[in-house]
Amino acid sequence: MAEAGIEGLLLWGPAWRRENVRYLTGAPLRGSFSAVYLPAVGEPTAFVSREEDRDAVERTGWIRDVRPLGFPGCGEVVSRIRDGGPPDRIGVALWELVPEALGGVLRRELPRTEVVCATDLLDRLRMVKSSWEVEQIRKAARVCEAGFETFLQTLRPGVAEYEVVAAVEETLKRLGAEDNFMLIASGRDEVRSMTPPGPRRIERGDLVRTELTPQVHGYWVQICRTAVVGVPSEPQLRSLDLFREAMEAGIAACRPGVTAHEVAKAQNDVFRKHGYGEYCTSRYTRVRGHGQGLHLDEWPTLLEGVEVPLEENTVLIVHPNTYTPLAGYFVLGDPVVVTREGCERLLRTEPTLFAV
Amino acid sequence: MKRGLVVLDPLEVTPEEYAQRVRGLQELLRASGCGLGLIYGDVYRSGDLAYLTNLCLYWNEGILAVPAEGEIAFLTKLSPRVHPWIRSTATVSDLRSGQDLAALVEAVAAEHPGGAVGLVEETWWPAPLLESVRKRLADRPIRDLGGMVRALRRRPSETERRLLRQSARLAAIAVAVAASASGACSERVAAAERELRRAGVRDAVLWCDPRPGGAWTFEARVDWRGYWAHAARTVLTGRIPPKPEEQFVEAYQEATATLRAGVRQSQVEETVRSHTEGLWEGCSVEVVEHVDLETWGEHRPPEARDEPIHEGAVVSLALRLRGPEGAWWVAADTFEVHATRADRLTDHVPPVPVWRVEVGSGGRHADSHQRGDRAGAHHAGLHRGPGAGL
Repeated sequence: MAEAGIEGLLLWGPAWRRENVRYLTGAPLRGSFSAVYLPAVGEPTAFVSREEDRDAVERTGWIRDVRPLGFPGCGEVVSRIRDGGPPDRIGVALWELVPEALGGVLRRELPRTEVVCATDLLDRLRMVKSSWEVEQIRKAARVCEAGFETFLQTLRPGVAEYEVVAAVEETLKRLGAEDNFMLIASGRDEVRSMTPPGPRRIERGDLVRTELTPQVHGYWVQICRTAVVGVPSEPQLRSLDLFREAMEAGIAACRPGVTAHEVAKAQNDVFRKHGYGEYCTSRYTRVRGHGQGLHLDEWPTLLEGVEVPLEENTVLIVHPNTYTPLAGYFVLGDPVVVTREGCERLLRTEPTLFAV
Repeated sequence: MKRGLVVLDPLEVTPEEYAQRVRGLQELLRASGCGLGLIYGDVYRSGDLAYLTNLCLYWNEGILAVPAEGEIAFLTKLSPRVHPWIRSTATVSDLRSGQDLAALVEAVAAEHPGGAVGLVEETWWPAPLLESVRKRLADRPIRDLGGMVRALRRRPSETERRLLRQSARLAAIAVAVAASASGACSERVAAAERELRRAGVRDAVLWCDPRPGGAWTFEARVDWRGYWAHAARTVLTGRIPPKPEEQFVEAYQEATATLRAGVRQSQVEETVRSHTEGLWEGCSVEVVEHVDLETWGEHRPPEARDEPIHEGAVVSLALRLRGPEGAWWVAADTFEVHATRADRLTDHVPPVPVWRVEVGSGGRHADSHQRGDRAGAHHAGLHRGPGAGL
């Protein structure tokens, strides 16, 4: 905060982006809104929209001052920021998602306080995990592996995509997952992306791709794998070779000091070497991986041009997922934690094309 | 998370009904002097988008642009690679992707130059996006349309009531399945999740709150084709003092008996208050219309929080109490409201809000609270198999 020249930090937590609030409270929350105000000097205050969330924050014990977050006035938030006099400048993490209902209140009630976006500040702070956080991520990785096992066991001709997801959800929730970000795509070479499941029934010869991301104790871990229902074809096997070489090149590049750009380039160079460079562009794919932790798509993004150096205990998913004419959209990705010497893989699941 | 079945089924909601919904909004836009209406949504709150197009915003943010005349467009941060999927699951075909939503708004507004630009529920737009849109449309009047789409959605059509009944049925089944499962809360959530996802729900928000002695509260909010319903029950074991239990049961039953057209949340609260003397500090009641269930009613405009319930509304009634042991007691059902009564749509669980379970040598024995235990209905939840009533 001192470096950023801010006197306080407001961490905004809408229901789909609670990572910063979780980071400071440790609490699993349910309400539509939550927030934490952390002054540069002094104790933090949490704001919750539901009484059950108050209990959840108080149970973790990290923050003792828990107040209601009520619209339209947001009176408690304003009052807390004003404690000891209105600050000249505060940062708001996830400012880009703060609703006008709160943004307008801050403008009106704190007219002399400059509000700046502090999303990057928190992203960078959360990028390097503590040993405890890495341990939580390891536990989540075991759940992730089990979910993928269920995925494989469920695949057969005639089963619908949403039924596969149902079986995976059951396994993940049984093992304590709080949530799961899962995408799926079944079909042949025509598949260009993954989405939520549809009613399509899986056919013999299909490739079934999934990105399965359980959240355990707040921490998300992802696995990306492709399976074939039946005997893999020659192009499908060539696709596996291409993606595995790219993923391994990306993982081999991960070490402290190496930039996100370099990890992305290591993967893309494999595609270029084999004549598939155009399939590394935004027309066919999004990113070559990204950080993971309390948010499922964290900083840094693995893209050429992102010159963010990795640090020890950065957790990343390395996934060269994209479309190629070989076998359509193909996914293969493993999470890693950056160590002093390189990186450590977090999953034991074989990086292969599974035939079921 | 919205990771269940996403499907556009013309047998459930006809293309004509979706078109009629858009026309209804366009009429309101014209009447308010707007050439273009903009509806912001994100993965958590996108019911208006689903109502108009069946669109499932499964991640990130987007804006539905509805011109007073002409074709609607969806402005999205999602990649063009998912456009074919969106077109196959929603009734909008003009899709425009980009990371700067304000720039996309500027472009679409230029195509509809007449009149003001209306923002639906401006108060819930992200403040920086709103500021950016205002700058880009500096030469156009911008108007807050409030809950214009919400107002259309509050009176469900017969088609929508069918979907709401199914959603309520599934929410109740989730509670019954959780009750039938054995083991820890994670086992109950897993069993309910599987049933719901296999039945084709789009989203399920399940909560199992354990308490000492193996008792628990289970709460399910379920999204079936974009229509949300709610059910919850509390199961007690051991020596819970009778006073809060009796008061809780009475309060819930009186509250549900109060529901009918014209009643306000404050009246239901008053009824509950009269039955929870001494408990009120830790007790709350929520009456939430189906259009607001997606967000627990927390995005309701302040003026809407105590509006009288109208005939034909589908609402959730939930009673919460922080029990003497510190854990939460929750009872919730979904109702269809008529002039003189409210029909409980979550009737796959018995009406009693609290179930008692005694653990004996022969396994669990369920004995729901005496009041309201009709024809042993409570046994449906606790002794039938997980597939009961499916």
